[in-house]
Order: sequence, then structure tokens, then C-alpha cells
Amino acid sequence: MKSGLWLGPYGGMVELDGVQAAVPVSQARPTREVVSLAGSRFVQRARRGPREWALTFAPWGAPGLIAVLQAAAQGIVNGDVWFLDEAAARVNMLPPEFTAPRTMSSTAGSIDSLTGLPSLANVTTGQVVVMPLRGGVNYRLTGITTSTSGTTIGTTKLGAASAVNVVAPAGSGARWWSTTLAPGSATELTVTISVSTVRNLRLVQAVTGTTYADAATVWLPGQGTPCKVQVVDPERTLQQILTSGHGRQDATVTLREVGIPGVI
Amino acid sequence: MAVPRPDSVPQSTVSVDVGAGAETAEAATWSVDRDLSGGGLPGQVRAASGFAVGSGQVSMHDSQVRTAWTTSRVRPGGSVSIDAAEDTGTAYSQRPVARMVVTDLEAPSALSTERALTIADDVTSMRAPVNVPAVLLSGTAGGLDTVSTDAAWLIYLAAKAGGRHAVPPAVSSAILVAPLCGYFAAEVGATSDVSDPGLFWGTDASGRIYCRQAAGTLTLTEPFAVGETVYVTWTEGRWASHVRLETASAAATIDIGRIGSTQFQVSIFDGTSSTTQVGPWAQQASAIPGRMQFRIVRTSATSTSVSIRSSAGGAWSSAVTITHASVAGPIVQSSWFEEVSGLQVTRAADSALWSAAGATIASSGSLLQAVVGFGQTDAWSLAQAVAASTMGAVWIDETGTLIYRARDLMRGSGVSVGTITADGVTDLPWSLSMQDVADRVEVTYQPPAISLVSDYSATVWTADKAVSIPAGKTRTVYADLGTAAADQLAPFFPLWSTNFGLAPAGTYSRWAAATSASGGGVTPSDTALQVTATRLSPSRVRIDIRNTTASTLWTVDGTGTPSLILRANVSASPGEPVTIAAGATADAARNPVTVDLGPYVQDDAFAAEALAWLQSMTTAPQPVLDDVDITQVDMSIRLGDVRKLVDPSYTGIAAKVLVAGTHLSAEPGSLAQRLRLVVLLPMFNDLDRALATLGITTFDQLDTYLVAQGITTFDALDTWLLSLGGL
Repeated sequence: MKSGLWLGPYGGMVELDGVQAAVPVSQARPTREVVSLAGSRFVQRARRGPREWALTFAPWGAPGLIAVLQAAAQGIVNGDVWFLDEAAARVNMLPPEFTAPRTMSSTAGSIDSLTGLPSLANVTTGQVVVMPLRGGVNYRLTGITTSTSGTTIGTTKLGAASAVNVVAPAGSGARWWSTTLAPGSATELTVTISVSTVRNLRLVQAVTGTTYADAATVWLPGQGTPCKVQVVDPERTLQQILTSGHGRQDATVTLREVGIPGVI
Repeated sequence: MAVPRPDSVPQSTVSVDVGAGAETAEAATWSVDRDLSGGGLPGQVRAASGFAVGSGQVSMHDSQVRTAWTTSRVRPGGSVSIDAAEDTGTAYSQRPVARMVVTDLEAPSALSTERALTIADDVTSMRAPVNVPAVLLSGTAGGLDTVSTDAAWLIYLAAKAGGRHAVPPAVSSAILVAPLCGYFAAEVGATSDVSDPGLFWGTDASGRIYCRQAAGTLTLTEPFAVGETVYVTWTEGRWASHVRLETASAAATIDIGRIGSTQFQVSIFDGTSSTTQVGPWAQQASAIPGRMQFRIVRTSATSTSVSIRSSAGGAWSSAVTITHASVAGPIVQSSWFEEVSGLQVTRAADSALWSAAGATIASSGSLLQAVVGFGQTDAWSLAQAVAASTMGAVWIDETGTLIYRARDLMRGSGVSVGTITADGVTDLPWSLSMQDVADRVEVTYQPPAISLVSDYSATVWTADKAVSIPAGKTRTVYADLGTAAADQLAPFFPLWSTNFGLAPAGTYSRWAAATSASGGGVTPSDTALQVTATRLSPSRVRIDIRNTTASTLWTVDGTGTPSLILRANVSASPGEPVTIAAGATADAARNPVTVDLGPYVQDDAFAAEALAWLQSMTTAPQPVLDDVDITQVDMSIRLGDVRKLVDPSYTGIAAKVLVAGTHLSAEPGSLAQRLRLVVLLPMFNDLDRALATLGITTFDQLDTYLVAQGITTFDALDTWLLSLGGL
């Protein structure tokens, strides 16, 4: 049964089969806590918190099912190993730091009428994020802009092809813009924002064909998928050796997010 | 200053050169320490002065996995920059933490890509030797006196020897260079007619020394004629700084300066009347604060045009053109300027005139009448010795600049930069020690022996060998005064002449001559030898002797003794140390403290004040707060800051403190700051400020206030006065 979890180099991802439901995902964000003399607590956190997924293949996964996991753990795969969670890809594929910067222009804040959530700051001019895309799948890049209709707000570039301008749509004031991408084969997508009037960036993958999980006028926080991972050697429980064919075994694999997000 | 958000995401950047140029490092952890210590003063006093060289560690991951043996080798010795930002909510603006060099590079394991770097402030260049030249400036305006040099000039020399310039160094096209960092004389150009007006050296708002007003005439190396253009660059010490360039004897002058925040002024005196005009000025972006450059174009004898700018390569302001009566002569000197440092008059607009300062040196307040016998030492030792003697502190700061701060600021005379409260710290551990309490304080200083006469009777040098001069020839003798210095050398007369009573015996420089080496023979005429003395430096004089007779002469007297005597009106030599003391008598003292200020303090008033302060700091134990962890990191806290520490609930402290040590460190998700604080005693201007804040201007009001506070005993008054620093 297909799980919606894919593993492998981004040009050769394999969908994992037979993953037991209830996959725990933990996030280890380094923090430091200090308490003042008067008892006030102050917390410092790191900008990113790398994640870990614990996948269980039970009962009795066949060797073919965990072949890609073992090859990745053995370090023999030809390319960096990436992990894609399709459910997260339907939410927002971008790493969180590229959807909006951390800055506070007012302590009160405000509600963004377009998203129904507290408003976020504009993306920094010149921000570049690179994400791997699979071939044969449709993707949609959306955001909000206040730029004048017709001005170029950024570019998208698939692999070595020339950059395509993203243009602010008709209308005035804050409004949604969206553009779709359909790479024929696995490639890198480079998104550059060239103005300071864009916010709430979002990149999603289609459910099937050109159908998406929600409208282009919805924003959800970045999930940072696919991401580079380290595959820890699987823990296996040997079950049975059959007289013909392969033996059976249960396996538990931990995938740990590594590297810097937003670059390939 | 905004505080960090209670849930903050601090950031830092480390850039390091491990042999392949500067690159951004993937740093895992870093830490930087700075601590004011040393200086030879007792512990709790030492805390408020001394010197600091920062050091630290960086642990980084080398993604290229370079080792000492791979093709691209790693090696220490390169530069390191660390900047950090504490997340106050607005866009991150990283502040400097360190500009250091890598002294050690270690790989803890061959299996890992981790590299451990040890870093330290670069003081290697400060080990350069510095030869302190003899200085003796004297003038006669207002009575014969020596013109003081501020001890900060010695630190300027030390920093310069180490490659750290407080003012831009002389450029090749300069025709006048006067650094004015404690010493009045020009580096390029001649100095003359000096006098001592008093209140000479000040410290500006940025902590830099400047010259309040000209004390004499500085002469350009080349004249500035009609039809030529010069550039005059300086750093202003205070508002209304200006420089006046003059023709010979100040017959005609051009006075240029900035007035107000948006204007500059040109005033031309043509001999009979002056014309003043004002032009627009705007501080340009990326300018060095306080530095300005004027361009003076002498279009013709009757028209002069002046414009100003405040940054390298910046746009010139619109020019002020003045038409005036004919000033045909060349401009040769400047005898008047105010609130100026780093003055240079150049023929070209050299971009080096805008180089950033590598040292910020304040005026020390210790005036030296003469600088004699200091000899050669290494730059860092000299800087430390002067800082310790003047009760100031010298350190390398977060941007790699050498900072010297004088005693007043180190003792907290400035206004506090910020307040630290109980919510700002995790704890306030404090300690007191009897170890540095003294019952007698002795201070030794060494003023030079200065001889000021008006009849040229100070003997400066006598020849020990006779010189023979053939007929009609000139011989040169170099008089090396050793550790002494002289100024206002006397003209030469024959030993037996009294110059019609104007030069009695024992005055004026003297020569004697005889036709044979053993003396004897007919006394030569009064004009047989023409002797002139030229002062090459305060301690070296060149004596030229020309024989005008037809036979060889020896410079001996009638008995064959070599007889060439050099005299002057002003002479100085290293003096005897003077010791002043306070507290118990030498016999009764059980725990005395002796501090030697050396030749860097010559002024009795300064030494007496130092003694009084040392005594107040050692009569009772003073609290020190080590290891104060700051809860909300404040990147604006620097070593040497004076801040208020107010904690009424736990320790009851309400005082000014000096940041005598800083420790900054970063780990994943963490930026930590720890301080060492020294409690400062309140000073008189704290009382002044406190009374002004309370609105008290008369004794009656003070009376009413004290009664209202419930202060009716001297003990209560004592406690209130000590808490003034916290107000």
C-alpha cells in the first residue's frame, strides 16, 4: 500500500510501501532558557529545528520493500538522499524561513484579511530558494503582493532553462498571485523574489493532475519538504526464513534531516 | 535601545581565513573574552584601569575537509570576524564581537570535520619598537615657558608604531601635517613661536583627543600661491572648529570652518578688511564622523573659492566664492585654529585622508613639560605603562581598534549608558576582600629637571675634544645631548668677549681658539671663528665652525683645554623621582601600597589627585561583582562602559558600575553574555546631576528634601550620598 512517503535522490525517488501508520515526527530545536533574579524566564532558540521520522515496516516487510532504505543507510546511493512527505507537500513545500522573515514591525500586529491569520512580514528582496521537483507532477507557487499590476515581482527557473518572470496580477492593493509549474523530468526550481512587496510565499504539489488540496487563496506554514536526510541503519527483527523466496523481517528506520534548507 | 524579545532567535556570523581567503564559517560554537587587568595597581583598584587583549575560541565544521596535508592546506594566522545580533524584533543588525586573528588551529580527530580555532586580538604588530623622540617646546609669548605635551601622545606614537593610526598618516602630497594628538608640533612642516595658553587638550564626544587652540605657528613646506588649489582636511573636536591659513606675518588670512549643522563659513582678511560668507553643507552618508575636507582654489589675487565635503569621493558642496582686495602673496603658515585634530594641508585630494582610525585615544590629563630620556621600548609595553601611570586603561575593542580611555571616564565621571536591573541578570554574586586595603599609599612620579633662564646661562653641552679647522674651511661638530634636551640655543661669542657688557661671563655659547693645539700664541680676533648652532632635534645640535683666518686654528683656550660651550635658555633632563604619600606614617604603616607613575606623570596636581583617588580606593574594601549573567543579551554593552546597577530588592545596590570584563559566547540556539562589574564610588558631578534631577538649587531645598527622606543623621546622609550613583 502506498504511503505518500518517498525516498531517494530527487531524480530517482521511490515511494515507500507498507509503512505502518502513526509515524512519529520529532523536532530537535536547540534552545537555552535563562531565569532572571526576579523570576522572569527568557528563552533563546535556534533558527531551525531539524526533524526525525521513525518509520516502521511491520509485519514482515519483504527485502524489496526496504531495499532503498538499506542502500541509503549503506551510503551507496548515487546522489544525496532526499525524503518527501506528500501530505506535507500539499500543505507548503517551502522551508519556513523562506515563507516569511522573522521581524516585528509593530508589537500589536494585525490580522491579514486575505489569509485570516496574523499578518506576516514581507519577504526580503533578493531572496533565493532552490527546491527539487519531481517530473510529471504539477506544482503551484502562490503569494500575496501589493505591487502595481504588470510589474515583475520575481522569477522562477526550472533547471537550466531561462528564468520566467512572475508578474503581479491585475487589480490594486494586497491580492493573491499564483503561477503553475509542470516539469517534464526531475529538476531544480529556483524561486527569486526581486521586490519587497511579496509575502506569504507558498509552493504546493497537486493531489493528482492539476487538482490541488485547496484553493490558491489559502496560505499554510512551510513544511520544508523534500529535505535531505541521513538514513540511520535500520533496526531489524528477523521473522521467518521461507523455503522458497526471501526471508521476512520487521524493520524500523530513523530518517534524520540534515543540511541547509533552501539550497541543493 | 530595544531589548531582545522574550522568545528570541539570536544570530551570529563567523568569517574566518584559514589559508584560502576570508570565507563564512559553519561555526558550531564560539566564545570571546575581554578583561581589564594588569597595570601594577592593587587588585580592586586594578579593576578600574589596566589593559585588555581579547581572546577566544571558535569551533567550526570544515565542509571541504582540509587538513595540514591536503592540496588546499589550512593554516592559522589569518583573520577572524565575529558579529552577532540579539533579535530585538526589527530586522537583524549584527554588531561586531571580534576582529581577531587565528593563533592556533586544531583538529581533535582525523575522523571529524571539526576544527577548533584559538583566536586573539592582533597585538603582534604592537611589539614593534618605538623610539620616543625627545620633546622640548618652548616659547616666549607671555613669559618664557615650556609648552606641555599630553601623555596621550606617547600612546599615539605606540599605536602608530603598531600600525594603528589615530589620525590619517601623512600623505605624499602633504605640505603641512599636524596630528595634534597631544603634541603641538607639525610632523611635516616647521613649528615656531610657541606659547602655552593653558586648557590645551580636550577629548571629544567620540573619545578622541583634539587641540583646543593653536599654540604657535605651523609653516607649510611649500607656499600656496595664487592660481593653486589645496585641500585642508581635519577632524573636528567640538563645534565651531576652524583653521586659518595666512600669508607671511598673517598680513592676509583665509579662515575656514564649519558653523552649525548645515553650513560652513569662509572669512577672508585682505589686509584692511574682512569678508565673510556662508555656504551650505550636509553630512554625507558613509562619512567618518567629524572629519571634513575643504578645497581652496585661489582663482586670482582677488578671488578665492572654497567648498567642503565630508566623505571620501563624496560630492563637493556648492562653492563660496569671495571677491576681495588683492592678496597676491603666497600662503605660508597657519598660526590660529581651534578644536582641531589630524590636520593636513595637501596638494591632492588623496583618498588616504579618509582612512578609518585604527586607534581612539583620549586626552590623559597628564601634562608633560618635556619628554626626555624615554629611549626605545616596544609599542605595547609603552602603551600599557602610560595607561597604568595615568590611571586610564588601554584595550583592543570589538572592532579591532585600540582604545585608550582616561581616568575620569574610567572612574565613572560620564553619564551612565544604561541601567541594569534585577530582571536583566540571572544573579548578582559579589565579594569583598581585605587583601587590597592599605593604610598608607605612596605615589612616585618623575618630573624632569627644567632650567628656564633668560640670559642664556644654562650650559647644555661642552666639547671634550678640540677641533682643528684649517684656514678658510668649515668643520662640523655634532653635539649629542644624550638624555637631555635644549631649546632656544644661544648665539656664540668668543670666550673672552663680553659683547660690550651684554654677554657677561658664564652666559651665551662660547668658543675659544688658538693657533696651536696646546693653546698659547696670540689671542685670535673676535671674528676668527664663525660658529653657528642648528637644532636638529631637541637632543642633537649641529655646530658649524668656519675659520676666517689664514692659519689653522684649534678650539682650545690658552691652556690647551678644549673650549666649545653650548648654552641655551631652556634645557631639560630626566629628573629625580618625587614621592608623595598619604595615610599612616612610614613607621606606623603595616600594609603600605607603593605605586610608581614613572616619567609619564610630571604634573604635581595630577600626582596629588592620583594619590587622593588611590587612597580613597584602598581605605576600605570595595565590592567586585564577578560572573554576572545577563538575561537579555545587550550587544551594545562594551568593555569600559559605565552603567547604573539598581537592585533594591536583593542586594540593595544602587551605584554606577564599570564593565571591567565581558564574555560573549554562542552555541546552537544560544547567545550568552557574562560581565565582570566593578562598583564605582560616586563623584562630585554625580551629586551635581542628582541635585539637578531632584530640582534642588538652594541649601534650603536640600534641607527640606533630606528631612522629607528621613535623613537626620550623618550615617543616613552617608548612605544617601553613596546611592547617588544609582540616580
